[in-house]
Amino acid sequence: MQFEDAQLVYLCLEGDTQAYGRLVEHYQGAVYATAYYYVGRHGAAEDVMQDSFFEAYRHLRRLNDPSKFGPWLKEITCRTAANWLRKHAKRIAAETPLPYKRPVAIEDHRPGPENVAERSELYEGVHRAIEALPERYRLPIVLRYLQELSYEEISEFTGESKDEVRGILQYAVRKLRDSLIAQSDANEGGKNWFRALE
Amino acid sequence: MVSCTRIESTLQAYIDGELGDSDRVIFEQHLEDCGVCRDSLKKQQRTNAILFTVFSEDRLSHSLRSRILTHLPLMEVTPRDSDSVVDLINQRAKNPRTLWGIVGRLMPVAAAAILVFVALILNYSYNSTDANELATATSVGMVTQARGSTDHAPGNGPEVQPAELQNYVLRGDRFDTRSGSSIMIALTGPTALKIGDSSRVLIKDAREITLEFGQIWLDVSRDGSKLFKVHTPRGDVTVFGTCFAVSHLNDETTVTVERGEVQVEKGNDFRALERGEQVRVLASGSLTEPSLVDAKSVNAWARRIMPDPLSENAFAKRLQVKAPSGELPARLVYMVNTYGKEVTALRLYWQPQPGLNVTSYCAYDLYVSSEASGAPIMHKKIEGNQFKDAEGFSLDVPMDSPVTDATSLEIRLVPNYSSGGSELSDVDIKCVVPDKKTVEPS
Repeated sequence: MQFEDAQLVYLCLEGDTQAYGRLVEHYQGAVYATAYYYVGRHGAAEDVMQDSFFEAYRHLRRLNDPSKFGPWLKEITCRTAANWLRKHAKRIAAETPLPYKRPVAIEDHRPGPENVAERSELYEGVHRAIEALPERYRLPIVLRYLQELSYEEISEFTGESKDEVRGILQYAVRKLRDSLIAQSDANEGGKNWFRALE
Repeated sequence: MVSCTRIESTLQAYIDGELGDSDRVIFEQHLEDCGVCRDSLKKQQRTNAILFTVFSEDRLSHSLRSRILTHLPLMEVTPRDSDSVVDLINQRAKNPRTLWGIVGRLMPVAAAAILVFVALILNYSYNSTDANELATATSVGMVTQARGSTDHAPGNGPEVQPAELQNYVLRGDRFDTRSGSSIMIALTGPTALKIGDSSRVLIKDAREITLEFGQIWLDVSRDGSKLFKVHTPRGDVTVFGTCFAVSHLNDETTVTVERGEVQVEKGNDFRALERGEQVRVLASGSLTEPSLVDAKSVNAWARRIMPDPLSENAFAKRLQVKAPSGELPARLVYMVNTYGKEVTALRLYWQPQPGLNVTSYCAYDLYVSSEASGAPIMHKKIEGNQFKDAEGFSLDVPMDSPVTDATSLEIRLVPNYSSGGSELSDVDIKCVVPDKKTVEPS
């Protein structure tokens, strides 16, 4: 994969936009998840994602090692997200940050307001639990569960080795398991929902 | 029985299907007996279900590829080399690769093959498809990049032509590059070969080449268990699956290893190199000690040569399918403990392969070095049929001079296929000490 990335980067530098299309195809899940991690609660994930790919293309010549396109793109995405947050700081300050999710779609057929409330409670619980994790463990969790990336894909994007990714996810999910399962067992009202998953 | 702590540390990889086969078996066996770990797995699975469910609502469900591509900024195109993609396309338009081109070029090969397989030709209807098949059957590689002024001289004919994308590479072919040019060849195996400028390379086989002068860079697959050999006017390079560069400039050969393992030899002297190490074979014929270098920057020129994707595909489709399978191991490595005793000879034992009537055994190269320091001690060639004639399936190879100062020897046995004959199976090596007793391998 690394080799192919380098090859595609060289083609892009020679003006081949279709080659860039293949890079977009391969990394859009990862870039979207990263953008979502930073600005998702403000509904700006897709915009930041598009800007990140724009910036990466514009500065492609500055990429020293084309086989490291993934980690480089990750850095650009983080910077783009940080810039977005700075630019919209005023608006953000006036908003209630949670919940993360985008407006519920109209074709949503989930029954009753009670269920919806229960779900959003769960939703907030999960996000709170993730925020309690050390910084290094958060992004891999979002990459894995939001876009279902494989360890290999996560490693290509974050630059960590596959074994490191494995260790990070093991530790992070273990922590989440402690907080979420304990929370669900303590919370009688939410218990039915969890039971359904067993 | 493995500990629960270890099982706990692989829970997530197990759920994600990222556990290796053996680890998975161990995991599942443990779970059958351990209620605590079964309970942990259940909880971990519940956690995973919650996470997936919560995140599924926000998943990116549609590709933004076209939206991103339509809003791309303009990139200034400043070609890094004299050729750009545009030139390559023109070149391809000028020299379209037709079936007839291939048939024409391969006629001499086809003729030779027909003579040999007279029986085959009786119901052999010759047409272009067959020629194509013949090409894929006899060629050992394909040109996947060619820039600047290059020559491709077929081994079986005088006609010299520029190297072109998707040219088949046959045994005996010679490639020349002039100043500012480069060629990249995919050899079956697979091996990527990049030829720098002002170089000459002779392809002897898919796994054997000669660098007459200039510089090459190689990425030899780890999968193929056969070794790879590079000959230069100053010494030979034997490779056990790796990525490295060889240059022969000013009558001096330099080998630089990026990763993997390489052995450089000149006469009876040899050095084993690892990642980041470089050895030079001087004009005087002596080998320098391995020194550490920044291999990536030394080989930076090779990084600029990238294969043409279309040619790579063509190679994968037409040639890579016949990747060798079930080949014999390329080398056998032994660590033999001498317990500080004086060693006067090495004794090789082997088992004849049952049911296989071997009429001749291949020759071997035997390399002995000190395991602790890696310093070479001895290099001996073992003639092919010595094995056949030896009594009782053992053979004593005397040391040049008795070894007294090593506590452990590293011994490599590398088969030399060019001698013909088959490889021995299951060779065992023991050290012989002066009282004719042997020391068990550790």
